[in-house]
Amino acid sequence: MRAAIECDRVGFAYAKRPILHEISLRIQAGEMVGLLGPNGAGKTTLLWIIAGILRPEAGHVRVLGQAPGWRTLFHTALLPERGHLPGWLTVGEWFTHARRLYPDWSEESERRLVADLALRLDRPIARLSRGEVTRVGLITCLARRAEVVLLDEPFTGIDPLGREIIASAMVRECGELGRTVLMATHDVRELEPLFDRVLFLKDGSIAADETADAIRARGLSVASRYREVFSP
Amino acid sequence: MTQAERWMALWRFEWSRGRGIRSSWKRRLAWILVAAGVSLVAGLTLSVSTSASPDRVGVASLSVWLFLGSFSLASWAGGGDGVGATAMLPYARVTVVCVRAAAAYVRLMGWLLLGAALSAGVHAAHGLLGNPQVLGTWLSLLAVAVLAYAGRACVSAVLAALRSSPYRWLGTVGDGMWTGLMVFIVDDIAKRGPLSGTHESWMVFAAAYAAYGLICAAVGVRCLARGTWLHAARRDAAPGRAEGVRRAPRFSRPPDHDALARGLEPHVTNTGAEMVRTALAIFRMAIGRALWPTGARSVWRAVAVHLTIPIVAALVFVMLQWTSPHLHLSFARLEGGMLGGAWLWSMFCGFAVTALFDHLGDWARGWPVRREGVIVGFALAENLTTWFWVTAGALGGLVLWAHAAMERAARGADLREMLIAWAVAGLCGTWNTVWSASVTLRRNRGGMSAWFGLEVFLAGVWFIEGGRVVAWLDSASWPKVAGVFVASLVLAAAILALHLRAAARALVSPER
Repeated sequence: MRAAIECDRVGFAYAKRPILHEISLRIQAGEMVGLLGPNGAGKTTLLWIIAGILRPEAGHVRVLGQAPGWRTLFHTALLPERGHLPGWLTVGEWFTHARRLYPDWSEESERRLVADLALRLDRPIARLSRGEVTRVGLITCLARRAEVVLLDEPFTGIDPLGREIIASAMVRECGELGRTVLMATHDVRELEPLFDRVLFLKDGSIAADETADAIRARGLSVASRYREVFSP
Repeated sequence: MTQAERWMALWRFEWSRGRGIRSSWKRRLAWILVAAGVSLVAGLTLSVSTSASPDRVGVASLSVWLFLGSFSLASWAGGGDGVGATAMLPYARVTVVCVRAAAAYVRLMGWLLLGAALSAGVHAAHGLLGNPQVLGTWLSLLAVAVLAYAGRACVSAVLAALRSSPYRWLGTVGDGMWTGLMVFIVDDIAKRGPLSGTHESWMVFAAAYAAYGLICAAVGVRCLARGTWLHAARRDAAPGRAEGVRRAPRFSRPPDHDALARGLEPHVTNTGAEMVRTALAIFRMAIGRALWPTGARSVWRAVAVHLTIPIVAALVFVMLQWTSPHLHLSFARLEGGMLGGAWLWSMFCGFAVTALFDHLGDWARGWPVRREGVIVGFALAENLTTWFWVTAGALGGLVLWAHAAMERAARGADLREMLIAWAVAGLCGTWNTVWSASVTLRRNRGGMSAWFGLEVFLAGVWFIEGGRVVAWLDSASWPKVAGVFVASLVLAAAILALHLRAAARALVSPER
């Protein structure tokens, strides 16, 4: 099977302090992988490196066989943890621009997702609540036909009902279309059923890399396995 | 999708910043009218104060108009949010920066053309279109703007990317160079005597600035490609995380809550005393961030670094005036420069306070202290750099005066006037920082345009008439000076109290 994401001994330090250390992983095309870890484990940094907007200091990364950079952003969609959306536009105006900016944009998916996530297109992005900004970001990622989807805390500020709607939208837009998803999150319980595989990141290193089926076969849930790995 | 369509999509996106939801056509029109009014009044003041004839109203107005253009650009370009929005797009980083710079340049050219038309109208009204000196200066000014605006567009295109990187100082130096160029031109126009028709020095300065802009753009592309700007975003997202990142951008240094807690005790009944205590506590908390925004340096080292550029500027002034046969005029220009420069610089210090409040958000609103004290505390800390600039100016003047004393050309009055200029510039700058912060925190955009126009106008008046004001203060009798001082103090305190109160209210219930 083709590898969508490959990391080989990836390292990153900031101000001489190591953030990622010798990360090696291989994610197959079509897999939905959870990237779990406590605050400060390096999850966001790893996603930035895979997206190609931050360069690793050591090791190599390949996304669909290419070194990450602006070119791989053609087939990689990233939902950053914090708002990076143009605050000077309304939601509708942003989607109009996004249609032109992303060659793989699907208007059909956009319409479906806007209806599902109950977004008002006439509202200025600058005046949206945190949860609404996350929804706009999710639509920006999921309305694209990008082969690789990187999601950083996709449930930030989202209410419980909204989480269910987003989870089913992710299954429809990613799972059914065979897209590769790497998702950094703390909301293990809600997203647990979606994961094919789970990577546990601890102090910048991979502490465990297991399939969800293997965890369940041991009579554990992903949440309880999380506690096992990270309990002091 | 063809390459041309992709470029066009990016262009439309960048262009959309200018017609953002926050600036309706009415606001833009109001800004243009305010800018035109300020430019005309400043031009008239310059013209009257220098040659007592209207022959340079048009060029003086145009130079002020061009300066104001860069502020329009800042509002068009949006803030740091633009970096994130473009960094996620599947475009080469060079393309992103080029398109941003091109959009900014087109806007600036529009501003230039409008200014050229307005100033041509002023010239025509005075029948000066055929005057070779005026025409030469006017054309030189347009040529300088075409060149310098290219640098300005390049700097503004990468300003947000640089702001969060270790190369943040490039943006600051760029802003300083731009202001320096404009002050240089206005000063040249405001010189007494006949107006020169050739201005090679303007072109050299503008070309240097354009080249500097290109360097900034190249560094900005590198920052975008390497993701350097993201480090700040990470700190903002999780200030308490284990990575313990040492360096941070100017507005992201986390507040020292312990210092705040140490300096503040509840149940202070005297309102004035509570405000002073709050201001002092906030000042102590903010001083490190104000002096060294990237953190982790000692205060003394930060002071040394901050003083470097002002001292270099003062040395350049001393070298240029070393052999001047009219040292008294040089001192007067230095005093005007100190006063006008302090006024402009302190206005930006006020903006920095507002940006800091924006960064702290609800945390600052949630502190159980008087907001007026918080604003004053942050403003006093940010204003320290104004004192560095005026102190460097005074030191430069002192060196020049010592040189004149050795040549037996020094006058005691020059030294006294310089010390008066130092004190007045520092105190007025401090007041202006608090005022700017309290006005900008209210976010009353209509009022802000008028206030901004007034600020620039007052800075111009200080530049031109500062020397005379100081000379009057030195020569006037003590009772007169004391009377003016007390009246100014009462007026300044009253204005500040009103604005601080309104700003404190706006902080509790921000307008949306």
